[in-house]
Amino acid sequence: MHREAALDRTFQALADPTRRSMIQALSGGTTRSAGELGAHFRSAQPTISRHLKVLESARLIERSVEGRVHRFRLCPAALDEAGDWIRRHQAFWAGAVDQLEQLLKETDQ
Amino acid sequence: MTASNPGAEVRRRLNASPERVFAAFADQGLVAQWLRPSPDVRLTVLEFDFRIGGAYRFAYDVPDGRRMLVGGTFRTIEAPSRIVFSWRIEPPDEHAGIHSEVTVKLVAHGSSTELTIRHAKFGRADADQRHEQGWNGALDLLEALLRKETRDGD
Repeated sequence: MHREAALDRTFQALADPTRRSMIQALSGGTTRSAGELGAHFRSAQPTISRHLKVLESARLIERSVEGRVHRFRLCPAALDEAGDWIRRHQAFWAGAVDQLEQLLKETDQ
Repeated sequence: MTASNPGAEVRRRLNASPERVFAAFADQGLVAQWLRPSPDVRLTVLEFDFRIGGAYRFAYDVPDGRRMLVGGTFRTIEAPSRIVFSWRIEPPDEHAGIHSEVTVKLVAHGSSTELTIRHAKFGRADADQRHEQGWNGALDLLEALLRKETRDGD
């Protein structure tokens, strides 16, 4: 069930609009410090720290410490896992609706 | 997938009344004939109790010999416009145990029906209490990021 727990954490972390904006701010390989992210979102630093911890425990971001500065960058692996799940079900239902359409045609009248 | 698609969502205009499309979801014999991703996947309906709280269980046999088992319960049934059911793949599948929910919406357009199937994942904590807005937004973001990555990788 490890994978389920990991996916749960990913989706849970992504369920908050501030955290989604943080991910966006870090997309494209950008590295930002906690202070930079805080300034970006005009939230209190403890709030920012809390959000960063949630993203970190979901393995969506990675922290590196340079002296007193904590810097964060995006880890795409967790996003890929969630993306696999979505793509698989997208393909399943697209295929199923093709079958349904065919069945409706065959059983017309 | 289009830009506005919130996660796994399929929308199709079908040349049949909502009643006929609804029956295809409600009748075990009809379900067995179409609810599979492609014609080479064999579907065996192991259980199908189409009422609120009733359970279903499907076995999918794919050509390479693997079998995928899926089950869940019907949460909402509003003939002929809406069906909601939970969806959980059983072990040993790589996505086994993940709680998710499928919402089927049927809207009449003259003599045809617009069918929308949305499949969303819920965290365990959210299985009962829904955060529709949040999940939609999360899936939108994921898709945007995945598209971006695909482009970057080209």
